[in-house]
Amino acid sequence: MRYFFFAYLMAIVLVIGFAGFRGDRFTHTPIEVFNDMDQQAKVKAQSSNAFFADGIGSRKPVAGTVPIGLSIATKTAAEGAYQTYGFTHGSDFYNSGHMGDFWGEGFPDQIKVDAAFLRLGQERYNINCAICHGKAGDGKGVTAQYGIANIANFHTPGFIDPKAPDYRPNGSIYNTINMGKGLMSGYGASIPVKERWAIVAWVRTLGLSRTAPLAEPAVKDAMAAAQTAASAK
Amino acid sequence: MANTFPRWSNTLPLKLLVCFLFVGAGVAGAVNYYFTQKYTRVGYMPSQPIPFSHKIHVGQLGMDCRYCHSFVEQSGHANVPASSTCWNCHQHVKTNSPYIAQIRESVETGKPLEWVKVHNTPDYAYFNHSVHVTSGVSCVSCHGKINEMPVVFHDQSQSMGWCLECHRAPENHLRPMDKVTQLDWTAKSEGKDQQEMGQKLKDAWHIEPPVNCAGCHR
Repeated sequence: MRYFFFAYLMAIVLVIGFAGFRGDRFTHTPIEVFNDMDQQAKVKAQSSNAFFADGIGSRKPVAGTVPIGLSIATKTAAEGAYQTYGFTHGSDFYNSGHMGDFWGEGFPDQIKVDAAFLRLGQERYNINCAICHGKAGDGKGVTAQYGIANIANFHTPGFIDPKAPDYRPNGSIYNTINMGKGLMSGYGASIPVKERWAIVAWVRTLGLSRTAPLAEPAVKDAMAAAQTAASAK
Repeated sequence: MANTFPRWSNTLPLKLLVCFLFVGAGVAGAVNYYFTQKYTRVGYMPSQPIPFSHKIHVGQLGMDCRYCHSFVEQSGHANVPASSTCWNCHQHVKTNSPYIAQIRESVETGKPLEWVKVHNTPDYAYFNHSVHVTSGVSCVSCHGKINEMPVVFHDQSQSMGWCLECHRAPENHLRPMDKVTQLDWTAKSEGKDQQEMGQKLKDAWHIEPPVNCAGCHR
C-alpha cells in the first residue's frame, strides 16, 4: 500500500510537471482533441487562403471594375431604391469635399449638424485624431513627444478666421481627413464618410472653443459648470 | 489443513478498492482540470512577427482600441489594422527599428504581415463583435486587460459555458457605451454597483441575449 501511494504521488508530480497549471503562458498552438469543423475550409476575414496564388484570402477589387455601394438595398431599384456609397467615393461635395474646382464650405445636404452629431464627432475625433492633435485640438497630442513635427493646431487663424490666408474651408478639412496632407496620412480607409464630416464639425467646435467671449453669460455659466465638474473629480 | 490463501489476502479486496478509488479520483480530477479551455486556451501567448506592445500603445500612450480595430463597431470581425495604420505614426517614430522596416516593406509591397490569431472561435460559432460592442459589452470582458499586456495572451476561456454565463446574466458585464473601450473602468471606480447598473442598462436597451442554439450556431 505504501508503494501504491508513493507511485500515486509521483504520478501527480509528473502530470503537473509536464502539464503545468491553468493559465500558464505557452506559445505552442493550443491542443485540440476533437477539432471537427472547428477549422472549416472557407475564406475567412483577414485569413490566408491557399486557393489564391499569393495566399491572401482578402481580395482586392479586380482592376477596371467599379465598386457598388456596401449597404444592401431594402427595396428593389424599380421601387426607387438606390445604392448608397458607404466607403466608396462619388465626386459630389459629400464624398469629396469639392464643389466644382473649389473646397466647399458649410456642410453637405446629407448632414444635419446637431448636438448628437457633434458628440459623434467628438468621440471619433478622440479615437482617431487626439493621439496627435490633442483632445483640445492644440496639436499637443501624445505623439508630439515622440518626434512628430508640425502637427496642426486648431486654435490658429487658419482654422478659425475665414479672412486668414491659410484658412481651410470644411471641404479642405474633410479632404485632409480622407486623403491626408503633408506628414499626415489619409484616414479614409478607417473612417466612414459621415463620421469624417462629424470630425470636421468637431474640429470647428474646438477651433471656436477658445474664442468664445467670456463676458457672454451663457459662456460664463458653461465654464463655471465645467470647473465645478472638474473639481468634483 | 494449510490455508489456501495467505493471511494478507484478507485485506486485498479492500486495498484494491482503495487503489481503484484513488486512481479513479485522480483521473477524474485531472480530466476535470485539464480537459477544458480554461487549461488548453487560457495563457496562449504566441510570438508575433512584430512584438507589438499593447501596453505601450494603449496603456502608456492612451490610444483607443478603435484607432486600429476600426471596424469593430460595424463588423462581425474585429479587424487587425492594415500596415498603413502603423505607418500613420511610424513613418515618423522609431524609423530605425528593424521591425518598422518590416512594416515599411509591407506597406510598399502590399504583402500582409502574418499576425498569429490568439482568440480563435470555432467556425460553427458565429460570434459578432459589433453587436456586443454596441450593446455595452466591454472589450475587457472577453479579452482581459489588453492594455497591460506587452504580449497579448488568451485571458478568458471563451468556451460555450463561458459565453452562456454572460448571455444568461448580462447585467454582470454591461456598462455605459462610452466606457466600452475603457479597459480600466469598473462600476466600482464610479461608486456604482455593477449588477444594479447593468440591470438598468439591460432594461433601458432591451438587451435579451439569445440562449438558444440558433443564436450562435446557424
